[in-house]
Amino acid sequence: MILDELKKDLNRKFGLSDIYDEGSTSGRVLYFDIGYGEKFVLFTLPIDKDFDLSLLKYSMPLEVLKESVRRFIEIKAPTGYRIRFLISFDKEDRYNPVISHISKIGKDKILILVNLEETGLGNEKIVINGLDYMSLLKIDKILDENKFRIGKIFRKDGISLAYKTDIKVLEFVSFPNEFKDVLKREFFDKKRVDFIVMFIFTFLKKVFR
Amino acid sequence: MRNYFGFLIRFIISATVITTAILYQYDFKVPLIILSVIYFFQYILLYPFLSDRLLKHIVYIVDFLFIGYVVFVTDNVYLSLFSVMLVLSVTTKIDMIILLLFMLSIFGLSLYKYGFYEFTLLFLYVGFLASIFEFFRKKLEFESRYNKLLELSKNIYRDNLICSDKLDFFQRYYNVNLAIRKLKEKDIKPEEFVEILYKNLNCDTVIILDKTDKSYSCKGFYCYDDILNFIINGDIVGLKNRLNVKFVVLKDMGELSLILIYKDYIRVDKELLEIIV
Repeated sequence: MILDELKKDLNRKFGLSDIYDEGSTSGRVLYFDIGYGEKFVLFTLPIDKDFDLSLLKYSMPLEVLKESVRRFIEIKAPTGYRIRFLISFDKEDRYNPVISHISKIGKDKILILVNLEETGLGNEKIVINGLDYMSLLKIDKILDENKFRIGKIFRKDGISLAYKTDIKVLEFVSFPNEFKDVLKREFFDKKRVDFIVMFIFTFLKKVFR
Repeated sequence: MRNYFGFLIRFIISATVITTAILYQYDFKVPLIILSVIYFFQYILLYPFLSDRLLKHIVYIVDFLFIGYVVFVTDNVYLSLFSVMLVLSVTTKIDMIILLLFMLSIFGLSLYKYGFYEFTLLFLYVGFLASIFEFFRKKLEFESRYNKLLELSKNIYRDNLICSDKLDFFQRYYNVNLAIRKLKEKDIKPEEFVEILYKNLNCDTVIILDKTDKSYSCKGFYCYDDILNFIINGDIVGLKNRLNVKFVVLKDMGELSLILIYKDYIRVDKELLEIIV
């Protein structure tokens, strides 16, 4: 089971011993906090039964998650809010545990939800469905100032997490990328992981200073 | 595949030893048979050790000890050839080198047993060693070629991402440009034009209005009849207040007026909108 391995891995690499593990009838949730504060910034990685570590599509978001955990622990912990990493597994709908966890925490306590699906594949576009006007303006400013080559996209297909919750959601989609479903794990590239983690960190720094 | 190979080799080894013990007359027939059965079952017991980096060498040492013991006890030196099969059953390079050293010690033992006059065994071993080295060489060559191709395909993937991103943009640019030109030449119906713009510019609503007979075609969320008066008068502020939206783009094209409505944010590159404005 991938969640057990991930738990062991996180424990060994970063010394994270207080990882909460909650199971329900259909799904399972793994979460841990970094930093202190009343409000949350949620980093989620929803997993369903199609998950296959040999494919690039599923292994890169995991690398992005590990890299962001590493940066939060080794470089700088967040101040004023806490980061909650939430890795969820559900057989039918991978978003179900995330949504139930959000209602458990309380919507007003969540500053933003960062969905790590489809990150690290290259050609990432920010899905602007779940973001408010002020955040979008700040994103425009960040993109202008830092010369990030990252586009924006509006999803009309209704798959994104922003359609299912009414909180702020920062998520990405790799578009146009016709090979993302077939590429193997060997196409791993550290630069792409660093790039997207850098963007997320700049965003959090600018928006929730 | 490799896992079954390991089981199969151990099974063949213990079965061969049992057969040898039954066919030839040895003093300690029963203990040898029991030992072979124990050897096979210990492999099943110690199988989880193989996934560990250090503990797996215990399994290999037990294998070679057993083969060495059997060769020493039965005086049948050809049983030592099983050590070659064990060398071929591992995957990593370091394991293979360590097992080769083990194999050479077994080879030395069996040569010693025959007083260094068993030339058939010597040539068999030399042949096996040569094939193992050839296997090594081929494997290294294959790996270097594989890595080269992988690097190449990584670069191609990177280029493909950049190109497909640009292609997507220019596709939209071309579609919008062509649609406008066709509308001016009246090659295209207003409904189709509205459809193309709605698809390529990510608007909430696209309206095109004929000022002479007040016929209009609309696609999107805000398709109300009462907003036509605002458009004819050019009252953008009134339209914004009526629909409670942030961005309205209005363009006069002779008899026709084109209106794009964005609720809160312009969800497309500014360069695409510049074609219209």
